[in-house]
Amino acid sequence: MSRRTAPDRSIALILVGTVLLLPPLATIFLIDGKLAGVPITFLYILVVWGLLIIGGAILARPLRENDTLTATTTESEGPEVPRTDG
Amino acid sequence: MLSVNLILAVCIGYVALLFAVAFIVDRQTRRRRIAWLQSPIIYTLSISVYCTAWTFYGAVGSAARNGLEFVTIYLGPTLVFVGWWFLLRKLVRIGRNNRITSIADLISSRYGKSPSLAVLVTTIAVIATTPYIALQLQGVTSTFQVIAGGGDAVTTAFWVAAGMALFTILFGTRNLDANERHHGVVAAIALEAVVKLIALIAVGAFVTYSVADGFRDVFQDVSPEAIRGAGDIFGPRWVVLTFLSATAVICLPRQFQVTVVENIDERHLAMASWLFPLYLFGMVLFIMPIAFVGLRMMPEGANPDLFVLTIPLAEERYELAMLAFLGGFSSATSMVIVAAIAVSTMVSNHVIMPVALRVLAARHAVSGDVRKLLLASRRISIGIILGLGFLYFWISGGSDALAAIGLIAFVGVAQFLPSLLGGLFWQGATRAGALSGLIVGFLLWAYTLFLPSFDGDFILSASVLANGPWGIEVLRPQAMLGLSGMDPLVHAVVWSVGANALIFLVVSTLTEPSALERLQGSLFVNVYRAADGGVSHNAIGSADTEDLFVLAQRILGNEPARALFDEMARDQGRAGALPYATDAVIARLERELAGSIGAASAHAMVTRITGQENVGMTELIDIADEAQQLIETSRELSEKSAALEQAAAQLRAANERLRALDAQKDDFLNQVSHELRTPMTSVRSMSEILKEETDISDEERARFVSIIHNESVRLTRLLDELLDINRLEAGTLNLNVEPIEANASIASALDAVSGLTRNAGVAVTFEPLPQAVYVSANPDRLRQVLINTLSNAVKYNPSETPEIRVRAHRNGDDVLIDVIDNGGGVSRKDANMVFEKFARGSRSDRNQGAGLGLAISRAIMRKMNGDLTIEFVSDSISYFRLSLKESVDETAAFQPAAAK
Repeated sequence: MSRRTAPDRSIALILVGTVLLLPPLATIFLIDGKLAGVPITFLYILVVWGLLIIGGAILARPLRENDTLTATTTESEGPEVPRTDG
Repeated sequence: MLSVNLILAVCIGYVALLFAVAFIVDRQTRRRRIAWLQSPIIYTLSISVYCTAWTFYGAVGSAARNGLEFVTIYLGPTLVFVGWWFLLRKLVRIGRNNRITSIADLISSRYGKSPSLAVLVTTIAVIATTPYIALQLQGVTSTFQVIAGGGDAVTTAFWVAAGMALFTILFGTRNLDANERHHGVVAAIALEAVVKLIALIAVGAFVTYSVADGFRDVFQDVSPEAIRGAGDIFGPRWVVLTFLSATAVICLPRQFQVTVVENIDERHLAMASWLFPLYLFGMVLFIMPIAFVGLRMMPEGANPDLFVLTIPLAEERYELAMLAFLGGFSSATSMVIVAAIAVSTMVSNHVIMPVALRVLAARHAVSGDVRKLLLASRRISIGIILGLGFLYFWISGGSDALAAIGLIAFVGVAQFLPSLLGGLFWQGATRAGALSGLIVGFLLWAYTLFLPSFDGDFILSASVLANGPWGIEVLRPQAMLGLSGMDPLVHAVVWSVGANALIFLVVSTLTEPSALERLQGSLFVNVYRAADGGVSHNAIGSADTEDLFVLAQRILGNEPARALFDEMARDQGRAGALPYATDAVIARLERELAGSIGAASAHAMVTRITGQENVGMTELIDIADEAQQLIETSRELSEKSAALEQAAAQLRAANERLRALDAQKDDFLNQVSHELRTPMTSVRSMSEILKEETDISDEERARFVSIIHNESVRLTRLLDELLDINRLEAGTLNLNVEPIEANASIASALDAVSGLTRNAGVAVTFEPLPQAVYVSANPDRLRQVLINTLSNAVKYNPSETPEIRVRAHRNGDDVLIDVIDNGGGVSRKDANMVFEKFARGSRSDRNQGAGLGLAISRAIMRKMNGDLTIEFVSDSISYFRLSLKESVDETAAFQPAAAK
C-alpha cells in the first residue's frame, strides 16, 4: 500500500465506520431476527466494529511510516530517556 | 462463602503486587533498563484505564436495562483511536513539543499560557472527577460487601482511598519527571488492565458456556425489546452517547494523562489505534450474555450492576468470584490512581504553585526550596483529590445518584472539547472565546445535568426541578426554554456543549488574540511544520544567566539543572561556564520547567527573570507598523521630492526667464538711453550753438529753436509711451471697456489721420460693416491703436502711389478691422520682431518713432480682450488686423435696436 494514500484511506475508514454505526444507516439493521443464535442488530455492530479494528490494524503501519517521511525530527531523536533526579 | 480474611489477604496481596511492580519498574527506569517498558502494548494497556468499575460492573447493568445502548461507550473511543492520525497524533506531538503536563496545561498553553484558563479547566476537572472517584469507591465497597457478605461501607471506602493515596503519592510523585511521566504507575496500570480483561472474559466465558449453553442458548429467549432497550435504540441518545464517549477518551484528565502525557513514543499510537479498540471489543463481547443470563437465572430484583460478581457466587465458583472482584478492584483503583495523578498535577501546577511561588518570590527562598515545595504541593493535591472523593462518597451515602455520575462526568469534561479542537485546528481561536465558552458550558452542565442528578437534595430543590426557579417554567433545568420531551442527557449535551461551542466560536471571532496567543496558536495548529516545536523566543534585554540557573536549580533540582546548563553551555562552545542567555537557552529552559510546573507558571517565572516580556506579537506588530509608517513616509518623501524637483525645474525655468527678462531689460535700457540720447544730443548741440555762437542769423536761430522744440516733443512722446507700456505690462493700467459702435470709431480715427494721409498723398478707402456693430472697447485707446496702425501704414509705405484700405467685417463674435496698405506690409521674417519694443521693420527707416507703438497697441488690444495680429497674404505681403469682441452688454444689445 502506498504510504501517501494511507491518510486518505484512514479518513474513508472513519467516515464509513461512523456512518455505519450511527442512525439513520444503523436503523436498517434494527431487525428482529437472529443469525447463528445472535440477534442481528448486536451482530451487525460487532461486525462493523471488528472491521474497523482490522482496517485500523492494516493502516497502522503505512500511516506510521508516512509519518516518518513527513516528520523526521521527532523520530530521529529516538525514544526519550527520562530524567533521573539525584 | 469466602471468608473476609481471605478476601482481605488476596486484596492486600494484590495491592502489594502492584506496589512491587511499580517499584521495580521505577528502579529499572532509573537504571535505564526500560526497553521492554517502551513497548506499545504497555502504552495501549495503560490507555484502558478508560474502563473503570463503572464500565466493568455497570455495563452489564446497562445492558440488562437498556439493551445494546452500552456499546456506544466503546464505539466512540474506537472511532477516535482508529482515526488517531488526525487528532491523537497531533495532540501527542504538541504534548511532547511543549512538555504539556495536563489537559489544563494544554488549553492554557494554547491560549497564551493563560493562568485563568488553567484554573478554570482545573476547577471543572476537579468537580467532574470527584464524584467519579466516589463512584469507584462505591464500586469497590459494594462489591466487597457482596463478596464478603457484609462490612462497613465507609470503612472499606476509607481504606481503599487511603491505600490509593499512598500508592499514588509513592509512585506518582517519586520524582519530578521533566515530562511528567510515571513509568512505575503505568506498568501497574497495565497489569491491572490485563487483570480486568481476563476477569471479565473469564466470567463471560463461564456464564456463556458453563451456566448457559453457548451464544444460541443465551439469546434464545431474549426478546427484540430487550436488545432495543426501552425506546428507539438508534435514536438521539445513541448518537449523543457515541459523541460523549469519543469526547471523553480525549478530554477526561486521566485519559489525557495516559494517552498524551505518558506517551514515550509517538509511534506507539499506531499500534494503540487498533489494539485499544480490540481491547474494548474484548471487554464488550460477553457483557450481553452476562446480562441476559443474569436476568434469566437471578432472582427478581437482583441488582444487574453486580451480575459479574453475583453469578459466579450463585454458582459457587468462589475463585471466579474472587477474580471478578479483583477485576472490578483493578478497574476502580487504576482509575483512581491515574485520575488522582492527573488532577493533582493540575491542582498543584495551576492553583497551589502559582500562589506558593508568589509568596516564595517575596521571601527570596534558597535554591532547592521550590523543588521540595513542588513535591509537597503534589502530595497535598493528591490527598485533597482522594479526600474529596471519599468525602463525596461518604456524604452521598452511596446513593443511586452515583450510578449516573459516569455519564455526567463525561458531559462535564466534554466542555473542554470546543476549546481543545478549536485550539488544535483553528488559529483564530482566542483566550476570551475559550474562557467564555468554557464558563457558559460549565454553568449549563451544572444546571441542566449535574445539580439535577441529586434529585433535589443539593442546591436545586425538587420544586425547582419540576417547576423551574421561582416557578419560571422556561428555566426548568431539564427543559430549558421549553425544550422538553428530550432525554435529560441529550438535553444537557445539546445545551451545554452546543452553547459552549457557539460562544467559543462567536467570541473568538469578535476578539483579537494577544501576541503570545497568536504565537502559541500557530505553534499548536502548525505543529507538524515546526521542526522542533522550538518557540521563536526573542528575548530582549539581557537575562541574567545566573538567575536562570538558580531558578532551574530550585525547580529541577541541583544536578539536573547543572546538567542542563552544562549541556546548553557546551552547545554554545563554552564548556565549564554558564551559557549565554540566548533565545534558544531561554526557550529550552522554559520548556524544561514547563514539564514540572506547567507552561503558564514556567513562562511567568522565566519572564520575571529575563526582566522583559518576550518580543511578542504586539511588539512585532508595532515593529511592522513602524516599518509600514516608514514605507508610508518614504513614499510621501519621494512624492515630495518629485514635487520639489518639479518646483526646482520651474524655478530653473523661471530663472531662465528672469535672466532673459533681465537681458531684455538691459536691452530695453540700452534702447531707451539710445532713443533718448539722439534727441538729447540734438537739443544739446543746438542749445550750445545758440549759447556760444553770437553771430547767428535770426533765421538760423529760429530753425535751431524749432529743432529743439521738435526734439523735446519727441522726447515727451517717447517718455509717455514708455510710461504707457510700463503700465500696460505691469497690468496697472485700467481700461474702462464699454460698448462702442465699430464703424464710428474707425471713421473717427480715419478723420484724425486725414491730415497725415493728405500730406503723404495716400488714398484711403473704408469698407465699413454692413450694419452697426457694438464692440467692447475703450474708445480713446481703440482710437489710439487705430491711429497708430494707420499712421504706420502711411509712414512705412514705400509705394510710389500709396494706398490704404480699411476693411471691417465680422467673424462670429469677433469684429475684425483690417488695415491693408499697398506697401507690402511686414515681411514674415520681421513679423515676430515688430511687436518688440524699439523695433522697426526692415522696410522702415531709422528716424521715425521710437518703435514702441506696435508693442503698446498690441498690449492695449489684448487688454480689451482683443488682439493685434499680422495676417499674411504671402511671405512678403501682409496686413495688420485688429480683432475685438462683440459687446454682449445688455445696453449694447438694446442700443442697436434703438438705433434702428
